[in-house]
Amino acid sequence: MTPSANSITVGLIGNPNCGKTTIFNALTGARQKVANWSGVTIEKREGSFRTGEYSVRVVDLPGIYSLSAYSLEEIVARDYIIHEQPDVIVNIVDAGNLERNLYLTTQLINIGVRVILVLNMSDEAEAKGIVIDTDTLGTLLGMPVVRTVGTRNDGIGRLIAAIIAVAEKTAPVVRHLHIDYGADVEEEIQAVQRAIRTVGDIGERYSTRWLAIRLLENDCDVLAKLEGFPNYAAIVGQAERSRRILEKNYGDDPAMVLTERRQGFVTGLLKEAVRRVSVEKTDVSERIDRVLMNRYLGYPILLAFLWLLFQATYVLGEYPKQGIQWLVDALSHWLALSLPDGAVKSLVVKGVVGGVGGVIVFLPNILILFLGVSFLEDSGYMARAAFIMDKIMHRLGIHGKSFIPLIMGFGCNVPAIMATRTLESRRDRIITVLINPFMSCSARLPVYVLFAGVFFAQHAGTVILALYLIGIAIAFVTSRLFNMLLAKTESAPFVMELPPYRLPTARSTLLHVWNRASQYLKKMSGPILAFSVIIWVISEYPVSETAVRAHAERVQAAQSAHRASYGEIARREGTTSVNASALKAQHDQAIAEIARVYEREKLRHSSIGIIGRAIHPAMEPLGFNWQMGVSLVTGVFAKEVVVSSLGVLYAVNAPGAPATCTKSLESELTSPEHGITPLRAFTYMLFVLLYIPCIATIVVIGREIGWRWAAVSVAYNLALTWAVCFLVFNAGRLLGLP
Amino acid sequence: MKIDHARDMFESTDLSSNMEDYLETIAVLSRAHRVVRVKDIAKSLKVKMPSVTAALGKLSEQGLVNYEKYGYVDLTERGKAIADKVYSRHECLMDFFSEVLRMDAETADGEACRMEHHLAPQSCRQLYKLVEYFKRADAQSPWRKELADLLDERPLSELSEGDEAMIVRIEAEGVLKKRLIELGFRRGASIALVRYAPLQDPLQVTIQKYSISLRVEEARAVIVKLKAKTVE
Repeated sequence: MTPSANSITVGLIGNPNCGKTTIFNALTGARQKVANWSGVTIEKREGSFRTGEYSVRVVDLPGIYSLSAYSLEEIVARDYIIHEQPDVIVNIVDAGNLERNLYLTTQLINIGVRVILVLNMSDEAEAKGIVIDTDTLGTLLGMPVVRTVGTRNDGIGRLIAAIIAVAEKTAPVVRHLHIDYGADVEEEIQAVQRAIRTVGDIGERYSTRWLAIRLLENDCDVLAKLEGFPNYAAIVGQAERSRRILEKNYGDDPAMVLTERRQGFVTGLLKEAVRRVSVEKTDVSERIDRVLMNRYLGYPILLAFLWLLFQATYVLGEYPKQGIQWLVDALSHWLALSLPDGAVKSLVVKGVVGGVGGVIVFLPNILILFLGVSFLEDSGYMARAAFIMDKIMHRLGIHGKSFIPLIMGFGCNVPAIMATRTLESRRDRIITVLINPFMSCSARLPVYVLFAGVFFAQHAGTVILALYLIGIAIAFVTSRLFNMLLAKTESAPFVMELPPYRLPTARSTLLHVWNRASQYLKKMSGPILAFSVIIWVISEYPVSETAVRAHAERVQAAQSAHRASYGEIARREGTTSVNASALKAQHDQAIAEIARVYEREKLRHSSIGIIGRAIHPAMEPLGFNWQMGVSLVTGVFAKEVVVSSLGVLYAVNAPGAPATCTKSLESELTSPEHGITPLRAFTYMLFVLLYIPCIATIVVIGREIGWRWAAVSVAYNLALTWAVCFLVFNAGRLLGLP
Repeated sequence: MKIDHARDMFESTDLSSNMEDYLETIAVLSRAHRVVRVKDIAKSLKVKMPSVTAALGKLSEQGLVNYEKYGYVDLTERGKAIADKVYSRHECLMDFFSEVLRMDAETADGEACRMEHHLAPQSCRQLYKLVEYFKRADAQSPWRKELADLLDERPLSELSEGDEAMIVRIEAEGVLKKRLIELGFRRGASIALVRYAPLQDPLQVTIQKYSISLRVEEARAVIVKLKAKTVE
């Protein structure tokens, strides 16, 4: 046999919340790769497994309720089924809710593909007293029916056997089936089918019956597909005539009539194959809902969950974060020792390890945030959070589901922007992404803590809170603004399922997190590496000859002065005497001071320094001195850098670094020679809150909604920040604030 | 016949709506209890005791009640006659709302209480004739069925928590219509309104035993027929 004869392609399809992902995980284990479907940002997950002589490729299609080609997800799934023609389609349904789930199955029957029906969560269905006769169901549908419990791996072996049987065309039950739409509808279907058949080769690509049905339902996507064929006008004309006839006979949209017929087919099916035995017990989900969505308790509980999520992110994340920090430090230390001095060493240590390491240390926090959100999502609580927040979010012009990504933004904007994928409407998604950077992420906090602590002493807490609230207010205004500017599209309906509460399995949650984390790393590592190198280049070059020379001279002067006095004392009192060691310490300090001055001069003359000073005229109306301006430029890379570059610029050790310096950044900031007043400090914090989100955020915006929008985001944020800071600073001055 | 009787019953009482309420309440209370006290009146009208005392003073001046300070209250013959008139107006309105308009008893009672003082005798009489005619008509007649269907239809957004209904039709278009159909909103399906969100929007329904959320605005497009629960 040839290798291609040994490989089987399987497409997994099913409603949201039917446990499709669990089946996918059960089939493929961790052998998965996540990518996007070509041209759209809908996740495409693929995995594979081997069984006997076969290698089976499994493609997880988006979770959808029907194949009517309204949403991108549906078009992606449908095009995959029609164009890629997988060997087997595995249609996963929630055994406890066949009535709704089988609707998709009827559409698969229409397309005429080979389907296996998987009754997933059959244990839950049994507990509800639903007894399904799988043999009858299989015979009536003309497809193998397999009972599974995805969370316990039950029935996966049977499913694999069924996949092989269907692919080998040895499954006895498989037969081609037509759903009977009733005599008068069938007549019109055949009329359209005849028109389609006049085009010779169309039947090779599509089922003509399916095309006819979709034309009767006025499917724009199918119309577009047919456009190139000869006789297009005749086909559309016939479809139009048939639609009018049906509309006249039924007084309703033909699509509605066909839908009802399909639903009727499902009802008939269930009558034959399903029995309900026991009376339903009180719904556990409803009892949980009574508490979690309670008029008074709903919001406090939501807040409590979010508080827990953030606590976990920071408190638990701190340990692995320190570990990674240690590893990064150790690596850069080792590299610093083993590489020869020069540009390469500087690039590797400062640029690559420093830059990428600076982002990598946040990975534990991001992972925990993902873990928490996966748990909330898989347990069913996320839909409830959207439910109780929708009214407020809708006022802002966005969807209830935008709430969670916005809250996540307080942790880190990067995973938050990735989490907007749950939003259906592109418009909602764009707005949610654009306002996300105004949710003050944790990396901005060190700046607030430093400046508020120094300039607002006992009111520091209030000032920091005010900054967070200003961020939220600006997000609000921005959302309204973009709502006005963006073309009105049909807004995504809030009609969505509130899935029953389920305890997510550790396995599925971990896989979920693993998928997201690996995607994060894959997507981010390239651009972050590139930007790290760029930042390194502009902060190191050009090297100022004068600064280097001045530095060398100063070092030499200090050393010769030291040598002279040290030699004398050593001769008089010996090298171990008190005075000698005091002198040595004094000398070390002087050298360190010289090194700091050099660092400052280097940064001042580097491209970043030049840019920072070049934009000084723009920063001056906001009350910033050149050091502040330069630190803001470095903050574009990551907001954490702002504080450390201020340290460099003021030639002091950054807070937290080993204290080899007498002057602290705190005292330096308040010293009158730099002229930083509380008003200027507040404006500066405001600037840090609002201006360009970090490089990682820009990259993720570009990746998720397109580079054009990333550019819009940067331009809008800069303009807005400048305007707001200008207003605040000048209004404050007019009011006579210090 | 009845109408003659009605003419008597729906005469104007020449009293303010406040005073009519007091008389009506005393009559209702004295039917239920042996004695009527100021406290009971205050409680059932949800007013303060001093207000009751003041009103009782006025009514006893007009010779409509017998009332001594700190004693029991009862109606005089004239007071009783007026209370009966007010009460029969209430009953007529109540019948109109609950039986003709098919509203639930509690709402019908509330509406009757608010309207009973403001209708002219002529309106009451006409309404009474209508209600009587309606009651005599065959409940199985086609026009009554048609009317009942019409009155029982309402948008999903007008149901209260706990109401059960049946979907009559979907008046949505585009994405919304499609989504509703996919999620099982279809003619004849049973639907129950579980709860409104804390801010009254969106709302949660169960359909085919599944919980679905939708906005009030979207629920307006779903026309349902309330399942008979209070009517007759």
